[in-house]
Amino acid sequence: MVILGGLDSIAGAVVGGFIVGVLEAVSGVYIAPLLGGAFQQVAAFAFLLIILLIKPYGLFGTKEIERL
Amino acid sequence: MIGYLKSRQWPLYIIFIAIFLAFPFSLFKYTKYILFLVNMTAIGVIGALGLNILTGYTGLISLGQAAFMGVGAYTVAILSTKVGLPLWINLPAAGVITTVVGIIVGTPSLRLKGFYLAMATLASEFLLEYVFKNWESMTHGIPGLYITPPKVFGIHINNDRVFYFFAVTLAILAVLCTRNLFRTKVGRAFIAIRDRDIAADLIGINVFKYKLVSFGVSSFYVGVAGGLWCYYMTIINPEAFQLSISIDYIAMIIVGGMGTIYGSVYGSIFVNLFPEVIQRLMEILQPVLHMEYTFAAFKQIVFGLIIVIFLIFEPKGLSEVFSRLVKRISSGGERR
Repeated sequence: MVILGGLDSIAGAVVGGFIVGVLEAVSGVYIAPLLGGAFQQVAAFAFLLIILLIKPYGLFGTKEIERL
Repeated sequence: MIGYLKSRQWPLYIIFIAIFLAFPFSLFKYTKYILFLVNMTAIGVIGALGLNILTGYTGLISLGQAAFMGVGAYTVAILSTKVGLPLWINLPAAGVITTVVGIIVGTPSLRLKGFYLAMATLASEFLLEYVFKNWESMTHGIPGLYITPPKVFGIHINNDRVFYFFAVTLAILAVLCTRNLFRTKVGRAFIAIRDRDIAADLIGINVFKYKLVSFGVSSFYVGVAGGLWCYYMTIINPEAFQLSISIDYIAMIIVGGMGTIYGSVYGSIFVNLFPEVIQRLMEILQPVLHMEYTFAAFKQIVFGLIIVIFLIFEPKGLSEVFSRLVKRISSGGERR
């Protein structure tokens, strides 16, 4: 949840926690009957994976500058 | 350590091979139990070699080891129960299917570095575990699958002794294959990506391709290890592939030595045998120390403590300790 928001931003942690909570509850009702089983346990991880693909440093994280 | 022995020490090789061949037939009371531990170590060597190729040589941290082993094990189980294919198709098929899954799981590595990649592989591991539990039609859910022991060239692999020869041969083959891998262009590309991937990209190494190849090769090893696990345990369920197995493998390569081949061997020996050594030691010491209540937890406590001590004092692992020891012995009394 902290990684979802970005490791170095406090607003990100708050937003991340909020998103994970809402997502778990919502997916338990709407998506679980489609995919079967306890999807709500892994919903947060699936969403994390998708977000990390789009924004590699989290939603509000700052991009690390790499030097050679 | 074998690389440091010179070829005029062939009597030592003969002794090793004799011990290897004769050991399972000895009548020592604990032979069956030691055979079990050696088989688990051999499976661990193959898995740890895979993880070492990925994390030690290419620098891509992966926590999804347990899920890849699960994919390999379930492939072998499904192919041998539902379709009825023999062993020499099953094990390579397990490797190939785990390679495909590994490449899919590894695509985030093209954008993510370090800690974030560890989190992404952790997420994939939980997703794969969820798939194992809920894809009822193929994996039979939580109760799991059981298989009959396989036949290879007419020999029935249904006891520890036969499996010992089979597994240790495959482990030695895996070590030789990995050693050859790191003498080729592909292996050197992996090492370059670990050291400085921006510089590797500048030189002209196709970082995109080689990261995916690294995930693929590593997953092949882990898939074969998972397949062997399935053949040995003959019953698998999703509970056997939790996160603790991934952490065990990472402990294996950290303690053994991260960028070395024999590090995987030493690490697997350490993680599989050391808790048993502690257990026997505690049993011997128990009348002396009178600590019946905490004695059961000592195994875990001491094991964790040793890993922490290794990380602080010897981060390069057991392989570095042994190579220093060999250098000190072979250089004799020369002090500089």
